[in-house]
Amino acid sequence: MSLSRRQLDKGANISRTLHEIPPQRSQAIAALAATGVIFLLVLRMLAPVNGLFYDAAIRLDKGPQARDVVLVGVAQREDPAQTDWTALVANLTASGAVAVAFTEPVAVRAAAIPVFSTGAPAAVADGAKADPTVAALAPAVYGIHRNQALVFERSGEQLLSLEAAVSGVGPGTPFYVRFDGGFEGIPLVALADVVAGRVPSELITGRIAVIDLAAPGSVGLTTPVTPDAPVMSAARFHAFAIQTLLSGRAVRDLGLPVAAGLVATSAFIGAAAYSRVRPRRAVAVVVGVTLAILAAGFAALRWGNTLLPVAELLLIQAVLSLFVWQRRESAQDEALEALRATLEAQVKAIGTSTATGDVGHAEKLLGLEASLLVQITPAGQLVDMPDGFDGLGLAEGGKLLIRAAIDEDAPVREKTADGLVWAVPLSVAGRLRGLWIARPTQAAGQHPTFARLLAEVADEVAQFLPASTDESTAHGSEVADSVAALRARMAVLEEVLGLASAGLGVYTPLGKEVFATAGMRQLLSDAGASTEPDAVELAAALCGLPEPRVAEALRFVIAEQSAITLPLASSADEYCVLRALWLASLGGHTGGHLLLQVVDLTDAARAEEAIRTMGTQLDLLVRNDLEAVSLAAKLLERADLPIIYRTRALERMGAAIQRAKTRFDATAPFMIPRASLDANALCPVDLRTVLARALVGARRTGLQVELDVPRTAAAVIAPPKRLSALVGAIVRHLGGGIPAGPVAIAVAEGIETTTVEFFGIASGLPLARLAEFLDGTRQPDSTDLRLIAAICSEIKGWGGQLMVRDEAAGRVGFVLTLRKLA
Amino acid sequence: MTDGTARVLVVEDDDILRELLTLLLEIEGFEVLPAGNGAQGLEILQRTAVDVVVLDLMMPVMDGFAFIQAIADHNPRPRVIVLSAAAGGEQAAELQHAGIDAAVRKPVDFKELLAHLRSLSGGAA
Repeated sequence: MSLSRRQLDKGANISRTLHEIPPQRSQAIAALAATGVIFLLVLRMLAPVNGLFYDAAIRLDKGPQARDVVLVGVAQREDPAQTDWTALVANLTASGAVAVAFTEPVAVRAAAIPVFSTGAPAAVADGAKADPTVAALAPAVYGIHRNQALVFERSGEQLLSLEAAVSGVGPGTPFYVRFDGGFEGIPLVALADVVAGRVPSELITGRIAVIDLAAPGSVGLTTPVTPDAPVMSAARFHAFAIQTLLSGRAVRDLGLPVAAGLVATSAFIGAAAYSRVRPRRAVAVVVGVTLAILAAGFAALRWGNTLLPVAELLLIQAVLSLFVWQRRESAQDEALEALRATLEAQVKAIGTSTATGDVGHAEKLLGLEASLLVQITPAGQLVDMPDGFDGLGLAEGGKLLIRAAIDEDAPVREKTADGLVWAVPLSVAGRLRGLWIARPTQAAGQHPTFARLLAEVADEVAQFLPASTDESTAHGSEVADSVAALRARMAVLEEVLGLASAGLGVYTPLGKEVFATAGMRQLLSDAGASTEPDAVELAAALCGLPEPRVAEALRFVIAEQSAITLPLASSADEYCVLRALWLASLGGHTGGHLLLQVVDLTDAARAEEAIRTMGTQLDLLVRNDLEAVSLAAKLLERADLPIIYRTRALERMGAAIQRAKTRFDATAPFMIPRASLDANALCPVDLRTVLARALVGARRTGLQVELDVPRTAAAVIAPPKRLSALVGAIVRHLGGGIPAGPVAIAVAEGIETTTVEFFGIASGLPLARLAEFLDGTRQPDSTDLRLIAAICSEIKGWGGQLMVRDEAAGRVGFVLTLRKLA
Repeated sequence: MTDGTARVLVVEDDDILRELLTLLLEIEGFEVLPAGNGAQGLEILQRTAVDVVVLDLMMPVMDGFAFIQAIADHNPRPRVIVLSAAAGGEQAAELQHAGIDAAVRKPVDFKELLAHLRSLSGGAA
């Protein structure tokens, strides 16, 4: 059943909702401020490269503009003494210069030139009088060149008063001078070119030529030229820079392409701050801009002593990035909140008056072309497979998309030929109840916040899931977690059910992994058994014994209502045994069933009682629960199951799971080591009785019967003389079961094991005498017997097994295998 | 059988299993009468004609074996399907000897149970 709805509400539109939310004034101001600051920072970093910023500049009180000044650079390597300054001035004036001024170093080095002087303006004025067209610049204070004051007097009028400094410039590049009102570019020409007449007259005509000595870049931006003058402060440097930028002339001087690029970059960053871009893109923008500014900063370092400014810029950039990020998040939150409020109002208004499952208004609001609602049961089963997948272009990837959305519990998208398709998990009260499959319009889908919008609206859309699931959801939600958590285990349990039906319980006595099905199945496979063997076939396959003998053994167990342990041929190295138990039915009435247990004695540290209890609990009590869960699952798998049946099945499944959990919990106390208990409490069964009954059964059936003694139990009987007393008691208890006669004893010792074998052959040792030896009432004469007696009396910290073997007719062998306890 | 619908008596002491079996069989169109043990099942049989009995063996009060013996002389004697974890091999033969019409091993293969039910009820339901 497709739940898609196209009944779009006419009054809403997601595009309008998204894009027409009026921005708050603070947002706009913040975004513009961010744009402006970034713009200034970018310009500021590029400025040194272009020679924009100097610690000082020429200041004109009045008079000429930039076009009236030409700088004639004199390289330091040139010897001023070799320069014909008079001829130079003559050439300049002949080329059209209206005045020539010499900077202070030139004046010093070319002292032979009478037309200029250094020092106070008065002296300059005096020098200027000698030749009204020539003046000298006062000493500088800061700058790559210097801070200079030019007093140029012509016709008795002081025309110029400027502070000049140049940096990072060379012949052919502009020399920027700060006049009142801002910087202006001044052409810089080389002295050699002037002397050689290679300077175009139009460059000089009508201008003031300032002849300077030092080469560009010889000192730092803030280097004082005047001895003992302080280094220019960074604040003053930056103040100059910002003032220049704000004048607008810098943009003009950078050139239109560069300026346009800077403006575009700033606009983009500002837009990123303003709009609700995706986090990934915002990060990319911030990182990219940071890297660009870093590169510019390093470039500035390459050309000047700007470490301090660069560090400052980086700090500003970091703060700005945080600001941009914060604004982005804030703007998104506000916009989404506004959208959510709108949605809530409309959803409520429409939801009460339209058919259940109508998501048309949401489709419209979000700009969707189509959408589907998919219902999911608490057990994770799709109730309604979305027939409309074809319409969404999801014929192949639909299930994968759904699975991904369920697994990630977040909107997931799939690219199809028709565009993006989203799968949005729908939850109610924290429980996954369905999926919303949505295909947005291209415009809406590309919006950076579309995924977030889907997630935001999902809560509202979830209310439109079919109401028919509501009554079952309440209880289904309760068991959903249990089902999900137990789902994997239930699969294992169901597999085990096949084995359990044959009366087989599979676990280790430690209970670490109760259902070791993988290993069990491997055993079965290795033994060549079918997947569902009956008890006889299974036991025979596991033990490698003939089926008739195993059948007799199992009948013995049933008849005696007892247990025997058979060695597992395939796992003998690991001390695994197959235990056959008869478990009486609960309630006291007759009946019961056969339980086969694979017991790993390698790690055995449990008492007999724990093993028995676990077997009883797990096999008898949980079996019905597993069966119930299995039946309930069969019911729930039916797509046409009426809701009332679904509800009841869910309830019953929940009850069965709860009951199984309770019973599992009931076994927990038996899983806990009880080292603190009295040792005898660990061995509540009468070992002698068990041994005797097993031996009788062994004799009756003619089977090999191995009686394993758990190590904890062995520890009880292991203290000095206790083991010997036990063995002696066993021998005596055999009574008429064992033919009285001579026995032979063989002893084999290994590092970890000691094996004592008693063979009922004609070697001259009556069992009664053996019992006396083991009791310590008589000392044997032979070395072997003394050794046996010593072992039995001194044994400490060993566990062991006493195996009684039917070697042949009339001969019974006992094998006592002792192992060191861990 | 009423109106072509087979009437099934489900005798199972586990209430959860009993209800789920009831649900499953009702979905398949059977009329189901649940009983918690053999004694309750007998009471129902005395009042109502039943086509097939789905019987668990291990139950309190009156187990499945006792129930089978008790209905041996019942007229008409309903057909009996035993659900048992040990309903295979030699025991199955013993059960059939005792008058059981079919045995389904636990965990229940519901398709197998349905097949037996439809077969024993003459294809009804």
